[in-house]
Amino acid sequence: MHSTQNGNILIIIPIVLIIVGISSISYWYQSNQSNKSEKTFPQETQITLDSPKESTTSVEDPIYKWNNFGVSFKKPNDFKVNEKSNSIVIKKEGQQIEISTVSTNYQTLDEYIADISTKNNLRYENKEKLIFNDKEVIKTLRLTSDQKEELTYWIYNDYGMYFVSTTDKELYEITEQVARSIQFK
Amino acid sequence: MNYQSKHLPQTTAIVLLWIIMITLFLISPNLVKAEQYYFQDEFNENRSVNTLNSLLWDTYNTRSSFANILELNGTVTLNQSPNDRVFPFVVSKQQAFPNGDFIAEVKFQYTKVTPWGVGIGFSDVKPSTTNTFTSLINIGIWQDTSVGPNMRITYGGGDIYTIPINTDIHTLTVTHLSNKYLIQLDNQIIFTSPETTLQTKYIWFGNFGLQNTGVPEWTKLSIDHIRVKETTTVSAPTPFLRLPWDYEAEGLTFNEAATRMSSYLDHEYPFLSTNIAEPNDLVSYENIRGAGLSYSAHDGYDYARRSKAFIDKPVLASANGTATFLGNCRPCGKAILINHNNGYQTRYYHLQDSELITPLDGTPVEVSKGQKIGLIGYSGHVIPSGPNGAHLHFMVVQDKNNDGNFNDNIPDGITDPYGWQSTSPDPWENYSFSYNGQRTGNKSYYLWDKQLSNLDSTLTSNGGIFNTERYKLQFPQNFTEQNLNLKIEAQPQTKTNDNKVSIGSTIKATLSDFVGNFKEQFSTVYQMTINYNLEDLVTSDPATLSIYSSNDGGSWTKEPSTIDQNNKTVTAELNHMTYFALMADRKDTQPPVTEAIIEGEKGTENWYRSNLNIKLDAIDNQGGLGVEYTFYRIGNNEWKLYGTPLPFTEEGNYQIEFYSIDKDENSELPRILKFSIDKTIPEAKIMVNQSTKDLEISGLDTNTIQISNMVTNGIRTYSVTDLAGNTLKLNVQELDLTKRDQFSIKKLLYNDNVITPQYNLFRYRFLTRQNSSPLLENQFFTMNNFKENIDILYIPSTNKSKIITLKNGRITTKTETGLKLLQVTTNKGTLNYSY
Repeated sequence: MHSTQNGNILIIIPIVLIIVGISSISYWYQSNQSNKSEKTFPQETQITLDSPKESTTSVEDPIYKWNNFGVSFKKPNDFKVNEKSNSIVIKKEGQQIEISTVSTNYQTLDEYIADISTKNNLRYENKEKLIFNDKEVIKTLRLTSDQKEELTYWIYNDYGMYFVSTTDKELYEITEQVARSIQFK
Repeated sequence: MNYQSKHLPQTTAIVLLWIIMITLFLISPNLVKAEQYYFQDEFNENRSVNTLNSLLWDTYNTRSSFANILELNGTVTLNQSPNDRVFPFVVSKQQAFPNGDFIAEVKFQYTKVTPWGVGIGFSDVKPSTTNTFTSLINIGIWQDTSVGPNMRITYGGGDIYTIPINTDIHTLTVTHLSNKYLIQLDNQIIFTSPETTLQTKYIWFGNFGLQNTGVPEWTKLSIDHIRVKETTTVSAPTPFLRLPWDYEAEGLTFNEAATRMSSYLDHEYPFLSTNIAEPNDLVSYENIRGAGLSYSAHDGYDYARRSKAFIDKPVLASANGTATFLGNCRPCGKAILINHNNGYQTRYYHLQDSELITPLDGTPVEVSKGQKIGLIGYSGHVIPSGPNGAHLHFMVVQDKNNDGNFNDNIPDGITDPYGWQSTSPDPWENYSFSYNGQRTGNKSYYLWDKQLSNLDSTLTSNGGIFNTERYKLQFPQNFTEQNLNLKIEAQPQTKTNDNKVSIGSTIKATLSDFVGNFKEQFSTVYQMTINYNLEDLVTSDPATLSIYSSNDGGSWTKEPSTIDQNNKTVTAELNHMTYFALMADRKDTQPPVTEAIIEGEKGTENWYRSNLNIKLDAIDNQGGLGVEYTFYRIGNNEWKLYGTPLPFTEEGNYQIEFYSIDKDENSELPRILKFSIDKTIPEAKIMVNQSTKDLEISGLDTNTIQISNMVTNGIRTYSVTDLAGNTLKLNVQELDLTKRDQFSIKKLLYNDNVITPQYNLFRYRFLTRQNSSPLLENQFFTMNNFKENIDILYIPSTNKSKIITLKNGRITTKTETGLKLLQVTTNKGTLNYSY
């Protein structure tokens, strides 16, 4: 009986090692390949909107109009805009600010945040209420699942939620400027 | 014995398992690799000299010492020295390129350069040291005696690119697409081939011809990696779904309805129907990871109020298929599933009890695309609960195992009808997880039968819609046969010489092929729509709105356009790619006119004798939009915005410049106002004029003085006036009308303010001489009731003047040479004397 148990262990150990070994190798290899592929093969370019060259001497940031959602905001002068079907990415030298949106049946910002905090199990390090353009705005800081600190401004307008967010700390100030400049029509 | 016989099979099994494990360990990278690349060597093994992966390479001309191959530390290096007159040559054992489209990449470096060549080539036949072959594409070192050694790239035996020999790390990328080769060096396109049926098959590196040639040391070549990736794409399913409610009846476009979802499908990961935990983020189909996007683990799309998928509105079948009622999912509420008989199923949750097209017993019903299958409701689990939470949960499931049952493909068959719209890998497609066995997520394809804007920048023969800011470009099917890259760049707002203005920014739109050649004219038209909903048309005439195009961004041509005033859009059909703008006539093209109104006491010309207030009064032209700003500056100081009248209290000379701008930025040319302020009244000096033998009055002031004299009833009135108009009048009484040599100043009028000075007398005597002109012999002035006198006696014989003064009861006498002239001056109503 005792010998049989030893024999089973001798079978189980290699099986476990096989599984762990193959998984590890595959994981390592795929990760390696994935990284190399990203590095090597250029991806297709997206539609980009270059910064308009201002015809006046004004240093004011130009107004960008996201027509699909009736939203306008001040685009930082040296940033490029990549307007997608349902979001906007404002980029500069590898850093970016995202503006995304989702509709909701809730009628207030607080109701929406209370619900989504549960659904997304959000943990905020900081949560601050602000007023931008007579609209209540919530500013949050949290760690994303890939351990990046994400700054987000939550803005509610007419059954729509809008998020201005970045994970680049250097862009925190500009992100707030963009959020402050958001206007709805 | 029994023990041994009993356990022998177990021992054998253990040995076999170990063998399997070791074998899998050895071959697993190649198994995975086969899925990633058609051919690949990263040269990551540290191997013994002259040993490469024997599954991939044949090697020639190797020696143990000098002419050798060494795979070490992630690179392979080919060495040679003059002591050993061969050079290694390496050829892919099997075909390294697929029969079709591919991207090949070689990262390499000539780590030690000499004029003697070694290269890398792609050939259509398998090279060896004995056969003759020509590489279709070749990179190598050539000894060029005229210009020195070069690194050349050739195509079909001809040079296509040459640079001086160097030790930089280079990446050669060769793309084979649609029977053309695109060659890039270090990400720069250096060559595009014409169409060719020639297909590269083998790759080689080294030098096949160097055997005992006796040449000096050859260039040393290192290669970091060689990768060949097959780019044949799996054909995507034909889009077949429509949005499952009548959004058009609600006044929404497809683009609006489809992008106003109230919840996304979570590409990381849609496990709502399972008990599998997943990271607490939602990743949208555009790879946006938003903190608040609704909501993590969601496995479909919710459409609600903002998509105008209102409660009680009909739910429509997304495509033809067989509908059944789902009766065992409490959170789903009343739900219908439609099998579209193409491997995909759509699901509709939270419907109302009434008007369901399917019997509750599960009997299938054939439905057609767009057919009403139920009503939007709030059955099952909705948030907020009750009618306020009414929405349609819509999801798509693929029958991945083709067993006709979709339930066993949840969650791994869940697919996003918006596809995966990012160049980064889709986390869901590649996610491996355990749920009733090992599973992998699903690849999502765009399945809507209408185009959504901005999904891709590539214009294919299928056409497409591209939105950027206010601009929408809609290309029909077969607009282009080859894939083209669309780029839209924002340009500044512009005005034309003929008084047109662009409404908002303008754009430059370009279409280029995959090697960067621009396509400007097309045989078919596309539609451009520019939205002006968010634009302010105060300054322009909406009736004249039109799309304009320009080849250079400066000279604009009107395109036939249609204005939709309800949707606030202007549309034109175009067949070219240039600069584009939405333009309209300007309402106001005339600048305003600004007048300066000066409040103060005016003198002559631009002179003023009081504090001033200057008001800048700007008026726009009749029918104009009104004045926006008036600017001014004083002297060369900074320009300032004019607000209230400008006060000037200090004496001096001034220059003000001013101009105004109207509400359409018509700017007036600066106007100039010059003026001076002199608030000081002149004083006077009274002397005897030896020529006229009469009193002479002169003015004391910094400005030009005008003197006038008027006699009335024996009273002389002298007026002393400066340029600002300040006037001192002296009323002087002549006391001896016969001799006319005694005078008294009776009144001083400073700008008509009368001051009576103390009693005074000015007297003078001339000495008459024979044969000579009279001499001024005596000048006398007294005031203060004769308590203060000055008497100047001139003695011609000695040419001296005796000056006798009485002041404060003291008489002072002194003599000075020459004739001294007595001067009486006024000073704010008093009289002073001097000589």
